[in-house]
Amino acid sequence: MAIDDIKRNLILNEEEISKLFTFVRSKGVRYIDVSHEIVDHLASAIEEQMNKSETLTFEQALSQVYSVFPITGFYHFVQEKEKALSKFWYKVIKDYAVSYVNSPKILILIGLLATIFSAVYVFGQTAAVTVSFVAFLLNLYYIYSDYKYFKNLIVKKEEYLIFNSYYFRFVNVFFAPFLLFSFIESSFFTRINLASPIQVILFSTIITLYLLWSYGCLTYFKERLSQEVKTNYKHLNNLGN
Amino acid sequence: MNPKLLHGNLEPIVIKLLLEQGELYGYEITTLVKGISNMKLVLTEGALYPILHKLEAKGTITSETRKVDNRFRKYYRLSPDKKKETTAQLAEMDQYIQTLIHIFNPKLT
Repeated sequence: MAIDDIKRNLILNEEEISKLFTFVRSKGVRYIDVSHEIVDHLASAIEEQMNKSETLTFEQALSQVYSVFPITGFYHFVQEKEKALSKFWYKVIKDYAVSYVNSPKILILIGLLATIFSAVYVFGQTAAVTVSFVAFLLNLYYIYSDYKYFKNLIVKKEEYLIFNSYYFRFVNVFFAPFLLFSFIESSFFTRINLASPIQVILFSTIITLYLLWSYGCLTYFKERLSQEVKTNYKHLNNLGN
Repeated sequence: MNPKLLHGNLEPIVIKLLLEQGELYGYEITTLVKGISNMKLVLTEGALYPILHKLEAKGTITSETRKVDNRFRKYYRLSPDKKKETTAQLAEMDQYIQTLIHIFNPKLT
């Protein structure tokens, strides 16, 4: 904008900013963290328009500014932000997996696999039932721990994309019936042929990978989430616990 | 100007501006591009933010949110540990521009 174009130095007040939040929400943006960036963009553009023309009202300026957006409104904006966060979490999972493969930690993994395999192979059904049951109990504990972490948001019914993109909590809920099924299978139907080393290896591998995943959910993934919130979302109060 | 021409070059434009200005917020980038290009290039919100979010996801840029004028504003800057990568990307862009000039206006080269 040329300096000559500026007629006044107006800054939107809190009430107008609040109206912008309502407007953005009415256009389908339900995430509070995403709304902040859109609101700042709209506010800056509105201020520029209103500073150029003294007679222009807030509502008129908003209408002018929004008319430049595509017919889909803010949909593309939110969608791209979702994609960016998905990429971020995939990278977090990759980093976690690589940290086990490319370090002495892999010995812990092999040790765990060998222990489960030996226990099931030697002690048979009792060991399989115990391992499945422990995995199921752990899963319930992770679901509870996630619920505790996100309780504030659930109670307030507030939605933040950074938390909605944290897929791990949904994946754990998804795992629950499978683990319960695995426990029931090994306790009553004994479909796993415990005399077959291949089937026992397969069973042990699945349980080991699940335990690795769950450990990541309790420690590494949650730490990365907290770190991300602390670094990039510190301006939003009461996020997480 | 045809927006398709701008589309493929958005990333280096954003990187170049951040390299020169240190830190910028979204709307500031759109007005800077408009101003520098004498209104010939109009960087729309729909094109800018996906690029910013993509660069942030890749770790090329980082962001910090601060309270400014009754609202929160997100400032973007280049990641210090990706400086080598961004410098290489800009050098590549420069080479590309020189090649285009060479093709379209050989007299200048």
